[in-house]
Amino acid sequence: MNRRGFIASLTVVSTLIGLMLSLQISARSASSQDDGGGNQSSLDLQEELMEQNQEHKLLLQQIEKAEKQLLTFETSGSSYEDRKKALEKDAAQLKAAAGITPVTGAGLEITIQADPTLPGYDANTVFDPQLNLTPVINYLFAQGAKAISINGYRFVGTSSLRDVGDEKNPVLQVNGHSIAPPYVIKAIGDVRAMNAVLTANGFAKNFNEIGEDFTVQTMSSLTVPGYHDVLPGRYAKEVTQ
Amino acid sequence: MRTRAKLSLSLTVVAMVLGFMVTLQYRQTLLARVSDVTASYTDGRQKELADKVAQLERVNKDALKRLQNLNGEIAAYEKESAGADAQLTSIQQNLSRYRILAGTTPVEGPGISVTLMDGQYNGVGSVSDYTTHDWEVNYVINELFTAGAEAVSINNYRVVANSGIFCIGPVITVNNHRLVAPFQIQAIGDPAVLKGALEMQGGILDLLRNVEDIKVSAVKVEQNIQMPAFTAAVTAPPSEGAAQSTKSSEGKQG
Repeated sequence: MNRRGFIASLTVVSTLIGLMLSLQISARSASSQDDGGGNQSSLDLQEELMEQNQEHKLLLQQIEKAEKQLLTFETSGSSYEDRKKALEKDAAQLKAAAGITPVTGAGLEITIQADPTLPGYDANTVFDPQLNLTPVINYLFAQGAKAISINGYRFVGTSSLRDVGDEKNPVLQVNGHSIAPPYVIKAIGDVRAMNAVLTANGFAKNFNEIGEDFTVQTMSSLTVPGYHDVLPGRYAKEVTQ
Repeated sequence: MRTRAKLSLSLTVVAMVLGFMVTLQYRQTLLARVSDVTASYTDGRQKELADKVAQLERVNKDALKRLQNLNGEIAAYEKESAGADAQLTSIQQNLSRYRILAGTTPVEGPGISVTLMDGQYNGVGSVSDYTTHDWEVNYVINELFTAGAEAVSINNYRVVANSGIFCIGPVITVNNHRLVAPFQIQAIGDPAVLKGALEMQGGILDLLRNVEDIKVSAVKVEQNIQMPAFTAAVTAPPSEGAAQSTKSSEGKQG
């Protein structure tokens, strides 16, 4: 009887110890995750502060610009010619900001096309242009590209890059226009930063692996055309007050 | 035999105490997890940071209001300058369209809204989980612009197609995005066309629901959606490095 009792208690004790250990371990791992979470939220705050600072600067810039613009109107005469001039000046600035005016400057010209001499080339594999070109455009804009066009179509605030073909015959549309390879992306901006981001993401290598040539040329001057398609404003109206 | 009984008794007591301690510990850990955010803010530096962020947020809100008022005044002047003249009025009406395209003013109009929620995300996950989300959100936005959306926002942040990969708010670098699910995407445009484009059979929402395994709300038609202006720089500030590196690589150009 005593022996049985001893065994029973020993069993209970061992079980409890086992349970304790496992709980302790899980509690530990949970608390170590907590620490991670704590650091994370500290980083988040830092990041948010950076963002708010950045937004503050941008807002001040925009306010300054708006004040200047307002001043132009306030100081311009009331004659027809004066009013026309003020409106045209306003229009020129806005067209540039919206991407309607062509831009000339230093930039990159990227040419992408199938190359049968590449080891990764496979005549049966279809290149998905939307999937593959979207990140290129996005990374370039993220590096502060001032203007980007794809096969002559300017990428603006309402632009899209979309494959409207089927699985075997992709047809890429930019701003609703169908384009065909070679895909030529022109990007004006900080060529060093843009080149760096393309290299860092291994675009040339990745494209080559699927049989696509990815050639980047750095140009001291190239021109990206302006946007010439539908302007918004049919459905969206400005809120002015 | 008595020693054995004693031993059993003491072991039991010890085990119970330890068990109690463990339970306590476990509950505390659970509690700490729940109040993770509050707990992290008790740290002095955290609080200071949080205060700074809150303060800047207020300042920025005021600045945004000021910008909106200025834009209102500008619009009034534009209208006044155009007067009754047909040619000037046509210039003036285009100004508003340019601004909407650039995303620099708040807009309103009819459209649709749809919300994407993570199907499996449980609050832990890795960074790559977030990245997938951005890709999915981006895909929906691309679809909306393709269908003629004139203005798009995510969680009330205006989005323009040419603002970079994660296109949210002022930070347009790839790794600094700060979106948290659920993502409410709103678009101003022809509601029927926008709704149709998203709900097309085998279209983007089908893909997200069935392949990507995320929760997608029904597409809701909205009579009037209001969206703020895009607050990041429309054109990036010129970089000092640009001219130099172009010079050094001039030989490459063809």
